[in-house]
Amino acid sequence: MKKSIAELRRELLNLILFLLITLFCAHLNFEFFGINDTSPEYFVSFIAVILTINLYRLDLIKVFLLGLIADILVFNLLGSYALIFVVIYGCHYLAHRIMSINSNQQQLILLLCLIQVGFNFSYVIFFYHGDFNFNFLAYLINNFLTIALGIISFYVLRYIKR
Amino acid sequence: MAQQRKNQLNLFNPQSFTFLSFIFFVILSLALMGLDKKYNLGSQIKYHVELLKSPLYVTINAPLDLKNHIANYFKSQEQLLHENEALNKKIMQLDFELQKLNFIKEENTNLRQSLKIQELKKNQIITAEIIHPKKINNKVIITINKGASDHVKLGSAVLNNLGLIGQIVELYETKSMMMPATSNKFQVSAVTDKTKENFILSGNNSPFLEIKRYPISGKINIGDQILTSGLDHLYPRGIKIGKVEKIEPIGDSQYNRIIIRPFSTPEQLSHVSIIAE
Repeated sequence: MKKSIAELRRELLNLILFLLITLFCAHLNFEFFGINDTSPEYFVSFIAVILTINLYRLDLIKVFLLGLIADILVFNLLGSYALIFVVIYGCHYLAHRIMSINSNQQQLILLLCLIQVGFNFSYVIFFYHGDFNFNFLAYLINNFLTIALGIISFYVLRYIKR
Repeated sequence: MAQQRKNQLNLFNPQSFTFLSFIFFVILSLALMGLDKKYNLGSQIKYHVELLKSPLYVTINAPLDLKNHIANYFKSQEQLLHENEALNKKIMQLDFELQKLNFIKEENTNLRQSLKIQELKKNQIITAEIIHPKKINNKVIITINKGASDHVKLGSAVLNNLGLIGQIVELYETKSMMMPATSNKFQVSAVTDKTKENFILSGNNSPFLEIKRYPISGKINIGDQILTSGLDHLYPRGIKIGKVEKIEPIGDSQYNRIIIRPFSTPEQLSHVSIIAE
């Protein structure tokens, strides 16, 4: 079912607002459980949620551009989030091609899978570029936090979308 | 029907996704990463975006600024008097130190003249404030409220009263970003205070610095102070960096790894000094 222009505009506004909130959170220095370097992968949660609930019908180019915007805004190496976003998009597309994902539970499982793919991929990229030291405890906590943030955002955005 | 179709935007067509386009974007991303790493492609874009991000910085710093304002406003007279007394004592101590330093300086100048040694470069010190955030997306990026308009230069050394803490790596008009000395991209030419041996010190993203390969026959001991050597012409000579914490073997019979604890880290500070030539 195609969406009307008004609907898409509203969703675009929601997307921009969500991006701004993600950017704001990424700039805050929350330290969870008193351990250094613990923070969720805000942008992985962001893209996984908007793809799962199909907030604003994104295509590959838009996902790539969103990734580039994220890279510029958080002073990352240009192209790193773009690559992560494109990979998440690819997995999302593949999941929809081989499975029928309609119910809430199915979407949630897809979200968890996308977050796992994006999170681990981001760890590989940032570790490869030497942006941080690998700490297994911080990895587990960050993974848990990213999933928790993803689930919360999923329900909030679904509610707003309704 | 035609009107209804016109009112709909075909922004997403899953059929348009092809494996080829996916591969294209993956390669494009990888190419961008490579180019940015090699040629710093994104720095110009980030320079302009920095201005757009100003409201974000203001918002993030607002609660802390407000807290400081309120704390200053409600400081009691007794507290202020106590602070004043402590500062006066410190001024007296520093005056005494200054007298000694003036004498040493004069003696040094005379010796340099008699030995015909070139005068040391005089450096301008810029005092700056560290602003929040200190981490962006879980990556330590220290932002300083002084930039190109305040004569800060790219690569300038950043220090405080305890010693060297980093280097300016991104420069904007009114702001700059510093890389902490503990970053794995940081390297500095250094010497010990006792043996005067030269070596390269590097960060490793942990709270410590290290000398990756130090000869077993070397004379470094635990507790030795490490200073900048000035050989890199980037950092002035004699800035304190840290203290030798540990000497550990690396599985090579010829070399050891030296772990150094820096005297201070930027995460703990609110003000820093930048050396501008």
